[in-house]
Amino acid sequence: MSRNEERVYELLERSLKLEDGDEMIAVCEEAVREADLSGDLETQYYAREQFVRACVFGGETERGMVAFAWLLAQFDLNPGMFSQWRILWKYKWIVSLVCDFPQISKERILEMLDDLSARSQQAGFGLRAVYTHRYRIEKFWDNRPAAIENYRIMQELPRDDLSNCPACELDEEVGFALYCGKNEHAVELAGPLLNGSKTCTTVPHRTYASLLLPLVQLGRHEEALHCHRAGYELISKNKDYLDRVGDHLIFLALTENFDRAIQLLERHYPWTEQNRDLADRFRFFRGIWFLLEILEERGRKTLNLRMPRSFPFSSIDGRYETKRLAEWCRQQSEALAKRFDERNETDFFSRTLRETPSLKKLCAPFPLNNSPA
Amino acid sequence: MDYKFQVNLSGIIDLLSKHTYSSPRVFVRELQQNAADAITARRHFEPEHHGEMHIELSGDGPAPTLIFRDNGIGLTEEEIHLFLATIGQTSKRDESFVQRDDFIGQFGIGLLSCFVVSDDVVVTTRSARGEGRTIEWRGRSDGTYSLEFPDREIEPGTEVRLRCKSGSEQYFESDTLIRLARHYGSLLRFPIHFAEGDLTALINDARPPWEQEFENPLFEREAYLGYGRDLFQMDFFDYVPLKSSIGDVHGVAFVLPFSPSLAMKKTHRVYLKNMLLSEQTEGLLPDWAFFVKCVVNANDLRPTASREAFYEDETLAATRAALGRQLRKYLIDLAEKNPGQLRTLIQLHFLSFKALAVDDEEFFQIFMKWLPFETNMGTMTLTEYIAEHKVIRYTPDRDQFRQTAAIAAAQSLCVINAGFTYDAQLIERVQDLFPSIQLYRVNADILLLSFKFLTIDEQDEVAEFVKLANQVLEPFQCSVEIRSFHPGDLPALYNAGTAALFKQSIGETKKVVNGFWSSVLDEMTSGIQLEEFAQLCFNYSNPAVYKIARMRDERLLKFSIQMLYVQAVLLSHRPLTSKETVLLNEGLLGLIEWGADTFGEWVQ
Repeated sequence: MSRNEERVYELLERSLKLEDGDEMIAVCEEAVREADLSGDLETQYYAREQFVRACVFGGETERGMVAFAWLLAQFDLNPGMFSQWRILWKYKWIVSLVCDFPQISKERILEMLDDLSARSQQAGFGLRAVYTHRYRIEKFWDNRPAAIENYRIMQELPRDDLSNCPACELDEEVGFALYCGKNEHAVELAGPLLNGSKTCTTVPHRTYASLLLPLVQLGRHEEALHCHRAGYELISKNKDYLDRVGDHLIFLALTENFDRAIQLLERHYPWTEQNRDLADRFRFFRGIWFLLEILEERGRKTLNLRMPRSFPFSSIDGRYETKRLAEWCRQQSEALAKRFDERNETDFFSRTLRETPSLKKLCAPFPLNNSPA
Repeated sequence: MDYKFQVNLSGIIDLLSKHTYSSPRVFVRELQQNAADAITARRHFEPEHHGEMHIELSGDGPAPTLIFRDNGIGLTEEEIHLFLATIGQTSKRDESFVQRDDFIGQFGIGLLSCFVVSDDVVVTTRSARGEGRTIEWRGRSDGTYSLEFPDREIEPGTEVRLRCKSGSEQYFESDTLIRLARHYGSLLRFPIHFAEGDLTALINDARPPWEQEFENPLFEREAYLGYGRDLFQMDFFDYVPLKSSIGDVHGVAFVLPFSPSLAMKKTHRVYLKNMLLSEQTEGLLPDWAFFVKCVVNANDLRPTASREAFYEDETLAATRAALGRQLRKYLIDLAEKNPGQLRTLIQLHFLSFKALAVDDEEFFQIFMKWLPFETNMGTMTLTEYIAEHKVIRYTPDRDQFRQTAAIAAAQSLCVINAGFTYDAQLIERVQDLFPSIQLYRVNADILLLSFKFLTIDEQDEVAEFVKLANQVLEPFQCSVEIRSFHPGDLPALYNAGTAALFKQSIGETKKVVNGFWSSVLDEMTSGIQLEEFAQLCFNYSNPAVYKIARMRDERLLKFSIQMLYVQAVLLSHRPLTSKETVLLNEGLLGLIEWGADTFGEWVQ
């Protein structure tokens, strides 16, 4: 084994001890660089496998996608050399994220799904996983009848090695209940996810965020607060959860926990510069916009914020005009909404944005008692 | 009279042993837990009662027998039916757990774990309340059980008798039992006696240090560190006693004698009401506190169903904050009283310090100046940096750092590599602490600005060369400049920003993927701004470059440019793309051929 290869395996082993996030991506990226210097195909392949994982779960999908394309090509060029299940499993990640990039056309996305579908069948797997993604994509495109139809088909198909883990499947069920407007049922379903008896790498991280607004709508603020505390704790270190931070911002604005909300805004704004997932970015900017609007209405005309140097309005003394900032965030979200709606051929994103201010009627102070750790 | 379970007991046992319990050995924990609960319940109405527990192993007969006996509250006939009902309920649920705060239900579930090591379980019990009849319950793993009322009268309490099932022999050995009983129950406050024939042992013979009084600090230190050594076979750097009235938590944090990796799972040893809950508890301390390993007992925190962690609620958040404050105070005190020790501690755990400084203003103010940063001139603390350099230069990008470190050093510029976790965030706030210091974000472009421009005459002389070099390197998305810089023996400096590197990796990938994926990548890239070209800056101070730039032989010039380009890429530690590898080969051969053509007559 060459010196470079040894270093690759050292780095990959180190990466296994890390949590998803920037450090993990950096370590795997270094492994890929060393692997390429070694020129050994297997080493290059394994390093990229880990790199794809790190990128997908660390909020750098676009880089993960490039590395995945390479993996898939090498998989096809070298029959029998690499694990079929592992490449299909990664394919699922990519398919689940590809919608978040409005520059990728609808045709391309559908073609990708068909390819995954054909490959899954050739490998002897069922289509439960594929239909999960068909459901999600139709949901993303605001095609409700097709989404529900695909969800039903998915439910009837048996589980196999390619379908998601029990925690993720339950999270999907919770999401579907929410999609159907059954908030109370969704909260009940989420029980095993929230009490820790079913977990995985991204659940209940996502679940908590998705229940914040429904719980407020149900008037169950105490539980919503719990979801904020526990949920934020889990996502606060990984920029992949930029979108969920947006959900937490809306929750904090609705319950008038403004200091905490501003703290989150300062802490996570820098993520918008590294996370190129535009759907994530949309949800984050929408959250800030909503927060700033409420602050402005409450008479906070200026704000003191610690923003990164690259922030477009960066001011030396850290003072910002709330109104201008809110307006800018609205423009950011609107521009993104427009790109999504054009690709998706709906008005779902713009509508979501237009309807956001109506959430204000849910506003009611509900302070966090203890200062968070 | 025999009754029949309504459920398939062997199925449940299988389920329990495979899912709920991480190993068969937990039956020891469950039986100790049952005894502890029974004694607590009895002391509720008999506060002076002295609880105790006996574990007895006897080896006669084909299979050894194990007895767990306590003098707790005991069970009435009605309660026995209740726990049986609970077992039934358990099986109907999807999850294999019930609410553990119910004593009787807990008793039944605890008992189930015994079937993992024993085919029949005999419970002899007499309640300390009510009519106090002795009851004998005999359960078998085939799902049947019998209930009898023997004439003999026993002391109030409960006795559980197990008979070794084939394959479980190791759990019926005194070494294993003593070890396991200590593992789970060493903090329990009532004596646990173990006996096998003449061999007797007290399981919980010493109280933990936080329950002891010490005459002087040295004894205390020795007691705590000794406790840590016994538990973890590790000599800890230091210890911090922990206490929180919220959650009713007592214990100790041991400072690790090595640097843990940033996100290594926090593995604290946690007791709930003096019974071991888990050795891998997370969420008890703030995230930044990864430099310690804790042992604590909590009386008022709620465990999750899996009993691996605590339920994330307000109480836990407040407890975490309280414990965090104590660790923080420990560090601040150390800064005042023992700076030498603090320095060692920072060397080991600077990541923890940085994590805390990012979020905590006061902590930032106190510790920032002592934190170490990697620079192109070695690792140094901020204080050391400022002592030598009036201006702070940093780069938040590891690739840029790698490419520019040597060259910046040659200009005597000290650059901080802020591409690691937290570093950029901290450095960008350095003016909060030192308002007069200047702060520059360095990248290769800015570094280039510090290189000497050529005079107008010199520029004229090399104009043709630069034009040709730009043409030759255009396909590599690289633009060319020529300046004068140190060190003179470096002919050219290659520099590619993150965007340029990403673009190159897309280019490389497109060479192997099919048409479909090629278009996916094109579409993806179209949405991301990646115009950035890489740059190659030739060094006019380098004698070879000085000569080449004046050469007029286009063929030789082309080969030279290609070779210098490849060499510069290699020096930047970036792997060559396939096109560059071809270039390297062609360039080398080309030069040899050129040499042979030009000087051919000399060879012959």
